[in-house]
Amino acid sequence: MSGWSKKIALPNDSDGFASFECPHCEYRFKLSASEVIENESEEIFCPSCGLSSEIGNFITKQMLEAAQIQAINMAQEAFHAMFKDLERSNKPGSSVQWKAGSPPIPEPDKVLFGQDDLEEIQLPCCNKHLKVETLEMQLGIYCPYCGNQI
Amino acid sequence: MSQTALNELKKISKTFRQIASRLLSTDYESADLNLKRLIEYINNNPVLIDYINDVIETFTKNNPNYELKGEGDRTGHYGRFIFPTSLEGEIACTWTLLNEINDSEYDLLRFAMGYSSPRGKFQDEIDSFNKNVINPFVNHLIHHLEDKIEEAKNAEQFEVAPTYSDDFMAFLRPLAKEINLDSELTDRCLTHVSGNANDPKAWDSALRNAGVVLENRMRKVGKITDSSLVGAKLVNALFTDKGVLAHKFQVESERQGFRDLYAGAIGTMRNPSAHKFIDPIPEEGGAYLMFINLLLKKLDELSK
Repeated sequence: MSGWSKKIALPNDSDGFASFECPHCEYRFKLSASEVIENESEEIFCPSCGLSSEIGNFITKQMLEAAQIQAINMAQEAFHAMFKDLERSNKPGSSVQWKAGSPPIPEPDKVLFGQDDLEEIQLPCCNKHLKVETLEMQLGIYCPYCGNQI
Repeated sequence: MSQTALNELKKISKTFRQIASRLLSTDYESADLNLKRLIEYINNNPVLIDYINDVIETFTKNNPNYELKGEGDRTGHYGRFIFPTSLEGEIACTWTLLNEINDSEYDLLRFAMGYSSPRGKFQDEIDSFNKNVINPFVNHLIHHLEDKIEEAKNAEQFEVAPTYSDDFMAFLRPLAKEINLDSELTDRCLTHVSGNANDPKAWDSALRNAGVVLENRMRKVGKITDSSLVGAKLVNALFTDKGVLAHKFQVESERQGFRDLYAGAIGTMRNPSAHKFIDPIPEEGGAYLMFINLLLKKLDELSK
């Protein structure tokens, strides 16, 4: 079965950090994108609640919505192209005629804004970087990489 | 509490969170297995099971008429579980219920009925049950482990930190090997706390003097003779883009950083102690002096 695929790039902030959202408590934080790529483990921990999951589950809702919009736009374009092909195959005098209609108006891509009120810290245990709210730092956080309480 | 005990607690905390995470994000077919894992892990770790047993004991003592009923706490057939609002009550009732589910011939899904819409999918029932029943229970245990880890950290610090003594240098020992205390700081501040290191009032006087030493050094380094320049104005005379030390910086943001650092130190440390009694605990007093010492050292470096 053939399908479509399209890669959607995770938008980074000006410091090269990408946004993540805990699937358990919905806490949002940022990690250095290059350090995430270097990380060997698939599992990360939420800095706030300390619970863990595969990194793919930490994708933000905003990002998912953006992906859904792009998927819908792609599907609409593909359907329109398919009907256009059928329209071209219309035979004069045939009782069945295909008409593709006007092309669909794509929904505008979602603008992905990262939180910028977060504070960057260097994790003493793993020597990597994390951005969280200042208050969260004061309350105590978990290292997203090794899961230790800092 | 030793380093080994602290590491053991960290390990328990991490493993517990990983096992709890598996249950909280489980698919409904693996829910019973993941619940069993969690219960076994709790039962095998005294730091968790002893805490739960203590909580249950406290709760039953304070609520002698309350019967821990497990499924009997439901609002009705396939209804939601109604637990007491207190932390102890919630932990006690949830633990009782989870054990009942684990020992039951029925699967977790049966107990999770009522946690989603009537036509909800099995997975929705499990997700909602996890969110409403298991997640709060897990969070209580995580907070308990966090407290135990903090206790262990404090106990460890207490073991290696000097006890209150008259030895002033004991409070500086962690840093004293790396840096030498500024001679003027030593001269002006040590006399106040030597033989009096446990007394916050002695530290209060020492810190007041340390602030004056810092301002004097800024004047000296900046060759500023105007004695009316104090506080933030004095800092600005040195570190603004037109300040006397501005040419020492090649990076503008670094100069601005120095200005903010010294203005911050004056605003948050020097000024309060100049206008009122702070009476810091000795550890804070020692840390304050070491910080002022660092600021003096940086000023001396800039004057070269």
